[in-house]
Amino acid sequence: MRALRSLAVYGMLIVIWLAAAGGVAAHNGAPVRSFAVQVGPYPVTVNYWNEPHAGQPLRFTIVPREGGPATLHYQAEAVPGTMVDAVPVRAQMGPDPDNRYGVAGEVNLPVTGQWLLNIDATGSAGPGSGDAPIIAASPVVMPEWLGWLIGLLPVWAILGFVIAQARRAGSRALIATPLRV
Amino acid sequence: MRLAGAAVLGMAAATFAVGTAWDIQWHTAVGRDRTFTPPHILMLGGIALLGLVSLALILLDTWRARRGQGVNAANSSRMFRVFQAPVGLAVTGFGAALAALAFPFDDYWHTIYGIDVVLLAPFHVMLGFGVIMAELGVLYLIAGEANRMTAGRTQRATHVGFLVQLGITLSTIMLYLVQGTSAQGLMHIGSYSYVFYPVMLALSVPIGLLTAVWVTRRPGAATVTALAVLAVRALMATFVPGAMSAAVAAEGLTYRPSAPEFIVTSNAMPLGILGAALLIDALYVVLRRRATLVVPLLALAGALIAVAETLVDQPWAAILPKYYYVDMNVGAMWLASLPLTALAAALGAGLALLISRGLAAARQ
Repeated sequence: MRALRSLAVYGMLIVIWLAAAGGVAAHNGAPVRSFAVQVGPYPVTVNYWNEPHAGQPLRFTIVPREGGPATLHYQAEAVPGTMVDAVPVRAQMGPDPDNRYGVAGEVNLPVTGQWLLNIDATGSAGPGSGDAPIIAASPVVMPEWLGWLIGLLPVWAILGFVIAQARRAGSRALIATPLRV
Repeated sequence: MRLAGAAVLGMAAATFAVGTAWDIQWHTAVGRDRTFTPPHILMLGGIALLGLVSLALILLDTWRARRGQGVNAANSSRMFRVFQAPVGLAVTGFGAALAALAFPFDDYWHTIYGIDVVLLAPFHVMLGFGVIMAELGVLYLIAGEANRMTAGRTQRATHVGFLVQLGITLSTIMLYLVQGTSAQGLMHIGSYSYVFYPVMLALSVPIGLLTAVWVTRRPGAATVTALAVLAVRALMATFVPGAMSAAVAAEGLTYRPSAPEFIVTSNAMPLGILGAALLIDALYVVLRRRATLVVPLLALAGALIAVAETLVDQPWAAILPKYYYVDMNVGAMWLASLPLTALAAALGAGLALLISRGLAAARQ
């Protein structure tokens, strides 16, 4: 009975933790980067809350610089630079828990290089668009020869297995027999 | 139980092949914006099923061996001093593990080199050949069961299952034909240029069709395998368009300007394999009475038929000059590729011989 009660308490704690994590997390401390961006008629500050790294999501907030109307609606996507082999990635957006007029977002940066965070805003002054720069840092680059050494592992394994089985079977394994019907 | 497990493993492998066809179309038509795209999820589902089902069968057989319920040294192998199960299941499990490991590596490679990494990139090779290794294990599992059976209806049905699995395996190998219908379809060794598609086709056709004949020694074996390949091709052609439309609409994505008008993978799969298979089957019926010559003669014939098939199946000839190399002389390029194509066909026949020896003798 006691074990069941403990299980129920832990279960509830896990559910509460998951529910809290499902929303956009509050930001601690100062942003790592901030940009003043003009999104059409709306001046905003774009804050990055982690360093942009390829293969990882970038967490950002958009805060109107002049307090701003609460009915401002934002959309954002990361657009790759001309030298980056990628496609635009739409950001997930939600309310900013630290600023009632702002929004928080998260966007995946799948490839290393230069990107733009393209922001579209719609409000009482009409639609507007603006960009904030992103440099997605590269992970440590694996030498190509090492990539092939690892990548060919199944090929070596297949060849090794097939040769071992063939040697075990011997050359008489494929002697012709009357045709099976 | 083992054959039922082999059927599930076969379906998992087919799921991976169809998922990969969808993924190739997704990369080309939409572009990869994250790791867990819908086609990647389908591919991972196939790989997970291969791994989990093989593990479950190994554990089940080990348990049966401990209880003396028909699993013994005559029909299974001891592994790591703990497990008792057919060696094919271990091969399947390791292959699935390598394929699963390839996913994060591939994600990492894409972050550095972009979303349009070619098929013949290190971790695309690791992913595909991991699954091919898993499929080889399933072939050993089925062959082992069939080889222990006495001749009759059950053995015949098991051989049909083997040939269908062989067709699925050949389809997975032939996924790499897509490289031959892309911008990387023209390749170079120093100053020597060749077309990749006929080389890859000539390598893969003998591996599948000769193995079918040599392992089962049944009339029509190569044809059944070829029909299985064509069934997978049809499944790709049917599934991918609808899956693309549904997933793109559900995610609110847009197509890239370079999106192809056709299904890339099924377009690359060779229709002429059926003709090649019929020829190989007919030759086997004619040659089978020459006990010492049937294997080398069929190997030679299989290689020649594979080279001839590269004249019939030429999807690259319509795509490469139109989209990538406007000055390409198709006939001259086929001729220039012929030495490498012939070498690949010979290698394919040799690999079929090696693979078939092991499969024909498999018992555990």
